[in-house]
Amino acid sequence: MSSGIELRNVVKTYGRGRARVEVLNGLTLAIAAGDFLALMGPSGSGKTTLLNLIGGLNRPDKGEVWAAATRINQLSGGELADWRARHIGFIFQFYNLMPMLTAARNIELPLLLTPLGRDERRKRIATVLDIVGLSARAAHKPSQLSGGEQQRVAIARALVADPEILVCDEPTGDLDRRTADEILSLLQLLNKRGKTIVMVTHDARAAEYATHTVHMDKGVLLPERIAA
Amino acid sequence: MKYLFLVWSGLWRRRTRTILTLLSAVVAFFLFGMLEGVDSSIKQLVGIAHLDRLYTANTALLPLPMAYLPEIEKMPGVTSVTYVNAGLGSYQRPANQVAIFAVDPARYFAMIPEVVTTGDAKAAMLQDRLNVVVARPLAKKFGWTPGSRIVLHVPAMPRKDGTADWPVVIAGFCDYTTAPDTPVVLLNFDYFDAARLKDRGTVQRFAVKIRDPAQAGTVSAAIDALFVNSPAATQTETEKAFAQASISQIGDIDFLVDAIVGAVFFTLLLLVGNSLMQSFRERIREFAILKTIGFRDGTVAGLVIGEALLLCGLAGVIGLGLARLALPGLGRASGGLFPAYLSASVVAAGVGCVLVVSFVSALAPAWKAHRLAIVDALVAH
Repeated sequence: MSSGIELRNVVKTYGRGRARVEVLNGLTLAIAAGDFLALMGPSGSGKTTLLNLIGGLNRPDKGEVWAAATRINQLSGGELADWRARHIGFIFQFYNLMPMLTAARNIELPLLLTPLGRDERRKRIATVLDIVGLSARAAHKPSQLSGGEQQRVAIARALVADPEILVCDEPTGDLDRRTADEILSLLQLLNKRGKTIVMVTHDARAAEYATHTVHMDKGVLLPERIAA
Repeated sequence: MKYLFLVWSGLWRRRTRTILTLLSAVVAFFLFGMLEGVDSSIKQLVGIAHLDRLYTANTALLPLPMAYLPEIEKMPGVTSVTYVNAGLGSYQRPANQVAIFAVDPARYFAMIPEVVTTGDAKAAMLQDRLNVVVARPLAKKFGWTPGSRIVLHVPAMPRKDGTADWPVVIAGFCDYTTAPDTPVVLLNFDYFDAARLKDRGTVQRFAVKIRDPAQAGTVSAAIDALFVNSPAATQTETEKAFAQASISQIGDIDFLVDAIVGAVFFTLLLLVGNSLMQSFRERIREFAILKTIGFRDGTVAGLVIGEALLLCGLAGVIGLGLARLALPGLGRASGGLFPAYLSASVVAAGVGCVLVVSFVSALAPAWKAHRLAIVDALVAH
């Protein structure tokens, strides 16, 4: 269960002084290792904030965040970066690829943070390109790829360092239905191969690919998946 | 090295801007190489000046009587004395500049070992007053061979016949080992003295060789004291001081070079800094993504500094390389009077400038990249 995630009494507030907005209000949540969780809710409900805390992109004001057997809210900035590199793969709505780099080079980025040699990096890139079905597009730059293909490259980049957890922020929000289904099927396949996936989505059909769905509103979970 | 492709791709994100910035930096380093190259060559010439040689000249910049020669020779600590009259001249066209040194061949070659010539040439100069010894590169340039009869035009050395044209015969060649490109013509002093319009029996300066360089000050003072009450008082100084004084007549070269190079690099600093800052602003999201993936703050800042280093390093290599190619041409264009080459110390200073400009110009964007908060950057950009 090392890749499980647990949040305990997490509070997160943005802003200063009177303008402070409490986004997460004592949130507690447990996600088992190997789970595929869809986080749903209206805009401003705190979904992305929650996802950022799970992915170690942000820290709570109060409470504890455990992921991959580490209390990540106690890690220093550098330690948190190293932790993200080892344990988390990120997939965004707008792909967030480096426009000047080819697909293969984009995928290589997380591997630069590992001690792997050039040959081993190339092997890994070839493997994940094969998994996402883009072996023939390795030398293409993002501008030469369709939206679906770019998202596959982003998924390959998230997978290449073999993290336990995939954090997806509306991964199909910018794709047509058919392409979105392909991407979601791919995520489902990865989940079946052991990846823990947390996905924020507005799309109820996308949530159907998850093993569990949690709804949020005004910084709290609607009562169906609160940790014991 | 594994990050190099990332730095390279970041640098060329805006191709036109990078090319323009690179060109500006190349020009800056080219200017630096040219100016510092000339300055350092001059300094090197001063640096290799012989410590055991003094120069005695008139304090009023007038000639000195030849009669001073035996007086100076008798001074304690003096081993030998020679004399010289120097002037700029030309061959056929004003652009073909030559440096005429009217010398006593026997005394001159004995005291100035850096001017190397053959025994035959020396003997020929002693035998016939019209015979001259010329620098080998000069002979090669004009196709002079031993026995060639040429005429040198030397306005600074007017003749009794009303002209400034000195017919001479090439006796042989010499190698001026400390400044090989100097276009030297060694003219027989007796011929010069006999044919010149005015100031016969005088010399421009004496060159005095002393036994102990540590006694240079004492001997100089003694020589000057000897003639202090004479109509032509002297000023004696070491060869090094003499060389520095000669160069300072052109102006404070060090100050000029430093001022120009300083202004150029200050402008370059602003230019590169502005370019890097713009590039950073355009790529805030990309830097945030790198941090998201797991790149540490320091690594991301390092990528920004790496881009500055790569840009300035590339400009440094191209700029200094061009200066290295151009400097010998500058030396040739001055007829070899102004020796210029890119020394190792100038290259080292260039590398220093690359590092300083890179780090200083990258300071602000690198700091911002270091401080970049992932979530804020992803939301705002």
